[in-house]
Amino acid sequence: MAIDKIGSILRPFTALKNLAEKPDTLDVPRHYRPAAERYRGFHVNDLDKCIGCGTCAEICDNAAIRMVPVKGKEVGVGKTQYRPAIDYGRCCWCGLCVDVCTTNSLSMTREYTHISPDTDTFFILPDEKGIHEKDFPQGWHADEKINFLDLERVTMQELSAAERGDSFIEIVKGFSKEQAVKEASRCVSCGLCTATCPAHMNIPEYIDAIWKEDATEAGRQMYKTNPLPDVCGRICTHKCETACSLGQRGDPVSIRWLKRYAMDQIPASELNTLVNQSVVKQGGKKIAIVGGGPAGLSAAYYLVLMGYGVTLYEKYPKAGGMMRYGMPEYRLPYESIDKDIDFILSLGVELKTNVTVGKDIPVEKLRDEYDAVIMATGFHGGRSTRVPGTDHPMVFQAVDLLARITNGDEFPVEKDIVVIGGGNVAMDIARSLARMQKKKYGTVSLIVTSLETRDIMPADDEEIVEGEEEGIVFHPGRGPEEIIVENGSITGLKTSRCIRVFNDQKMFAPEFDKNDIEVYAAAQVIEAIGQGPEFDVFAPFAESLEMAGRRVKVDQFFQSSLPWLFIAGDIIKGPDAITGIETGHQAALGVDFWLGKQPDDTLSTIDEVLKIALGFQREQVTQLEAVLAAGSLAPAVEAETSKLLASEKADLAAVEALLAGRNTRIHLRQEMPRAVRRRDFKYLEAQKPIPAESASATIKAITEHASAGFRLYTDILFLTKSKELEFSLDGLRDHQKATAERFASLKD
Amino acid sequence: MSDIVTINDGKAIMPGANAPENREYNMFIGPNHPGIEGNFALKLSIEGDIIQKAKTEAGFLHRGFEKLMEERLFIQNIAIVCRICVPDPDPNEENYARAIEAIGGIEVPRRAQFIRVLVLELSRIASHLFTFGGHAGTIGLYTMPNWSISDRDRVLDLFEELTGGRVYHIFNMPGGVRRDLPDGFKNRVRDVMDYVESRLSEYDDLFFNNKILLNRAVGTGILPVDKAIAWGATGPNLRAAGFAHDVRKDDPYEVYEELEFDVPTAADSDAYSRLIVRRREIAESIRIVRQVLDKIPEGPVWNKQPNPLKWRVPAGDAYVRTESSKGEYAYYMVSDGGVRPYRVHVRGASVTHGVHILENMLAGARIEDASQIMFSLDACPPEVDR
Repeated sequence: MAIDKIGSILRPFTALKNLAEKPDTLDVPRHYRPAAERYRGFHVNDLDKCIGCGTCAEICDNAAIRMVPVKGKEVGVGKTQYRPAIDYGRCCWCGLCVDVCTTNSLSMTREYTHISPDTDTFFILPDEKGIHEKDFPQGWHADEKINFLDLERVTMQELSAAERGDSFIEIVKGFSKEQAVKEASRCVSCGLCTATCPAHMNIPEYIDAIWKEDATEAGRQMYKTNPLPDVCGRICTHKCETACSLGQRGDPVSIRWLKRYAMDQIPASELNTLVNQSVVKQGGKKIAIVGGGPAGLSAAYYLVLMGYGVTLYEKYPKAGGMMRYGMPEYRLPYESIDKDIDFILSLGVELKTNVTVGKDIPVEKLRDEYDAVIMATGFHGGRSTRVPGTDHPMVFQAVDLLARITNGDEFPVEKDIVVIGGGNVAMDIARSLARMQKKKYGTVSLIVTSLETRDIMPADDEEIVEGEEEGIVFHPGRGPEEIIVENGSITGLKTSRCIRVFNDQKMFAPEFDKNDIEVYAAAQVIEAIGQGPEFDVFAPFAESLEMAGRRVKVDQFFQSSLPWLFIAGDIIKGPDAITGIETGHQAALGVDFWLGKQPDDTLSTIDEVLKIALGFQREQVTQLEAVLAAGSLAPAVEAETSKLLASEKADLAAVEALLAGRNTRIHLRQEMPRAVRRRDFKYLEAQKPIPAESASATIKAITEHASAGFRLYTDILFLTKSKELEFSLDGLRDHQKATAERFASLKD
Repeated sequence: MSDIVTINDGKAIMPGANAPENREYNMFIGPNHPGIEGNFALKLSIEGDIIQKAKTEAGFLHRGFEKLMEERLFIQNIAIVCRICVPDPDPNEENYARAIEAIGGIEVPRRAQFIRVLVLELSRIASHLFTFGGHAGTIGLYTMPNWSISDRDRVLDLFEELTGGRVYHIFNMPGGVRRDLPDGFKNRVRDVMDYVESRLSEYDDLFFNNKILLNRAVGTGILPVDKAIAWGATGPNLRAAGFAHDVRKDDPYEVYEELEFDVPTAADSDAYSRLIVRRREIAESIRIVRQVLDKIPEGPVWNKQPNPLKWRVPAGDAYVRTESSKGEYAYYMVSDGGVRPYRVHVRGASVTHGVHILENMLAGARIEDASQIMFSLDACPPEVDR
C-alpha cells in the first residue's frame, strides 16, 4: 500500500467505474430506514406496569422528564397516579431512564422521526403505543445483566434457632455501620414509602441521612412524625417496605432495620437535641389522655410540644400499652420502649400508672377537670372461639398471657400446648411459650392451628419460618371444633379442615369439612384469634355518644360526638403501632384545633386589646411622673420629659375615651393565624422602671418604652383592622414613633 | 468638481495609500464558512495574498461542559461528555470512565476492555474518514467528501447496532460498558472492515494520488519537528513530523499492550504528510479491530456499581489520557468523595492544534491555504470551546 507521489491528472477518473454500481442512498422519507435493535428512539411506557416512582425523572440529566398525574390510574400501596412525561426539546436519548426504571416498564422504540411546527407536540406522555401510535418494534430496553439498581438487600444478622430457643434475647442483631450505609445506599428516594406509611414518616430523608452517616439528622427527621422511632425500628408492620419501588424487581430496602440502626446510634441523653422545644404556652390548658400505648404516647408528645399540660393515665404499672404488654421481649426489648417513653415523659408529660379510668377514676371527673380527653384504650380484650370447652381454666387468651409474661406473673406452662390463631399475636404467644417450654422441659411441643392455609396466614412470613426453626409445628387450614376435656383436664383440641375462610364477597365466613377431623393432644389451649376493644369506659355516655358500627363515630380530627372527647389508637383505626402513632398525632392536632376555637383562649375582642393599650399608657404616665419627681435630670432632658408626660397623659385620656365610648365585643379578625392572635406582647416587658440617676440611662429607657409602644399600636391596628379605630390609633402610634426618634437623638 | 472620482483622484485624496501600514487589511473566515470545521472563526491580517497574522476566534460553541459536570451525578455525566467532540466522541467517554475507575479503584472486566478498544478504534476510523472529506472540500475536490462520509456511515451503522446511537454513543460507563455485543455483531464488523480496507486503494486513486492534492498539499503548512514539540503538538500531527509518539504505545491503557499495531510516521510534516499518516492509521485501526474480534474473551461486560443516585466516588484525583484521532486527549478529575465530580478538566488536543499552532502556522501562508492548513491539523472546534 505504498503511496507513491506519482500523481496523474487522470487518476481520479478511475472512479467512473462506480457509475454502474447501485447507490447506497435511500430516498427518505419514502423509504424509512429501519433502526437497529438497540436504537434509542422515542420512549414507550407500560402505564399499568409503571408505578410512578419518578426514578426516571430523578436520573434524567436534562430534567426532560416530569411526573404528571394521569387520571384513572390505580393509586395504592406502592403506586401513585403519576407517570413520566417527556420533553423532547430537552431529552438527549441517553436511555439512563430505561436502565434505572424500577419496574422495567419504560423502554424506547426504533422510531426516530417527529416533525411538527407545534412545539407542544414535543412534550408527550409515553404510553404503550409510542409518540405517533405507530407499531414500531422495541429498541433500547432493560438488560437482565445490567442492573443499575441494587436489588439485593443486606442480610440482617440474627441469632440462630439454637441460640434463641430458650431465651428472650432479641433475635435481630441490627446493622453495623457499613451494613447500614450500604443498605441506605440502595434507596432511590422515590417516596412511595412515605405515601404508604400511616404516619407519613420522612423515610427517604432519614435514609439519606443514614447514608451520609448522620444519625442525628435521621433521628430529627423521624421525630417530626413519629415520637416512638426506637419501638417502630423493631416491631413496625413496615407497610413502607411493601410499597418500596425496589421491591418491584428485587428486595425492598430494609427501612425498618435502618430506622432501628439510626436510633440505636443516638443515646437517650441526646434525644432532646432532636426536637424543637420552643414551646408556646397554651394558657394553662390541660389534656387528659387515657391509655399509655403508642397512640396515647404520640398524642401526649405532640400536645406537650404544643404547650399543653398533659396527664397520661395508664392501667398497668408501666406505660407502653401493647408495645410492652403485647410484644414479646425477643422482638422488642424493654429498654427500647423505656428509651422512647422516658424521653416523652421528660418533655413534661405527667404519667399516672395503675389507674384504670372508669374504675379508679370516673371519666366524668376527667371531663370536668381537663379541657379535653383523648381515649386511647386499645385492644386488650381477647376474642374467644366459643367452641365447647373454652370455659376451662387451662384455656387462655393470648393477650392476657403476653401481659402476664411482661409482668413476670407465674402461670402454668404445660408440656403440650395448642395455639389457635394465624396472626402475629398467635406467633408471639406461641414463640414465647415455646421458649418457656424449652426452659422448663428441654423440648418444645407446641402446635399452631389456623383457619387460614399457609399461603394466606396473616402472620409475617419470617415469624412463621422462625417459629418452625424454634420447633413449633404448624397445622394451617384447620378450624377448632371442640376442646376435649376428660376428668376435668384438657387432653386435646379437635379440629376439622377449613375449606375456605372468606366467601365470594371477601367476608369472613369460614366453611368446614366435618368429615376431615384431626385431634391434637394438648393440656393447655391458647386462643389468639384476634383482639377487640373494651368499651366499658364509655358506658356512662352510652346514650349521648354516637357510634359507627363497632367503633365510636369520629370526624377527621378524631373528635367524637361529645366535643371534649377524642379517640385514638386501635379502638378507632388499625390495629398496629404505627397507625396508633398516627391517630394519636391527628387527635393531638384535633384537640389543638378545637381548643383554638374556644373564645377565651386568645385575644378575641377589641376591648381586650384596648385594655392592654390602657395598661401601657397608665404605666407610662406613672413612670414618667416618678422620674420627674426624682428631680435629678439635666435641665434639657427634664424639659423634654415633661413635654412627653403631658402628651402621654393625653394619649391615656384618648384610650380611656375609646374604651368608654365602646362597649362592644367585636371579634378580632378571625382569619388571622392563631399564633398572631395569641401574641403575648412580650416586648412590653421593656416597660421596666425608668432610672433617674443618669441622663443617658433615662433617655435609653424612654426610647425603649416608646419603641415598644409603637409596636403595640402597630399590632393592635393589625389585629383590629377597624376603620373606626384606625383614626385614633394611628395618631397614638405616630406619637410613640416620634418620641422614640426624638429621645434616641437626644444628647445628655 | 466632477461627479466621477478616478483612481488618480483617490491617490490625491489619500496620498499615503501605498504606505506599508496601509497595505494590510483584515479578513474574516467563519464562523459560517465551508472552509471552517464547525462554528469557529479566523481573523486574518493580509497583505497581498500573504497572511501576516492570524487570530482564532472560538467560543461560538461554548456550553460549559466542565462546569456542567460539577452539577451532575457521576452517572449523569456519561450522557454529556461525548458531546465535547462530535466527530470523535468516544475518547471522552473513555477518559471519563477511566478517571472514575482510577480514583475509585474500580476494575473493568476484560471483555469490556476489548469492547472499549473496539469502540475507540471504530471511532478513530470514522473520525479520519470525516477529516478526509473536509480536507478535500477545502481544495475543491468534492467527490471525496461524498465517498468518505458515506463510508463513515457504515461505521456509524455499527455504532447504532452496538450502542443504540449513531453519533453519541453514551456507551462507556465506569466499570465497563452498557451492553454486550449483539448476536452476529462480530461478523458485521469484519464485513465493514473489509469494505473500508477495499476502499482505501480507491481513496488513493481518487484523492491521495490526485495531482491537485499533491500540488496543493505537498510543502504546504510545514510544522518543523522542533516547533511541533515546542508548541505541544500530539497525535498524527506530531507523527507526521517524524516523532513516533502514541499514547497507546507509550502509556498503554485497556488492552492495547496485547495488540499488535504500528505507529505510522512521515518525515515532511506538511499538510500532505499529516493526511497520509491518518490514512495509514486507518489501516492500523482495521488491524487492531480484527485482533480484538479474534481475541475478545467471554464474560461479563460491567462490574456492578452502586445505585447511581447514591453513588459516591472516593476522594482523590486522577489524570488519564487516551490517544484520540486528534491527538492526546486527557481528563483531570478531582473527587471530594461526594456524588458529583468536584472538578473535571478536559485537555483536548484541539486547543493546541486549532488555536496556538494554527495561529503560528498561518503567518506567512497564502490566503487560499488557510482552510487547508486548518483541516490538515484536524482540530475540533466544539472541543476547543467545550
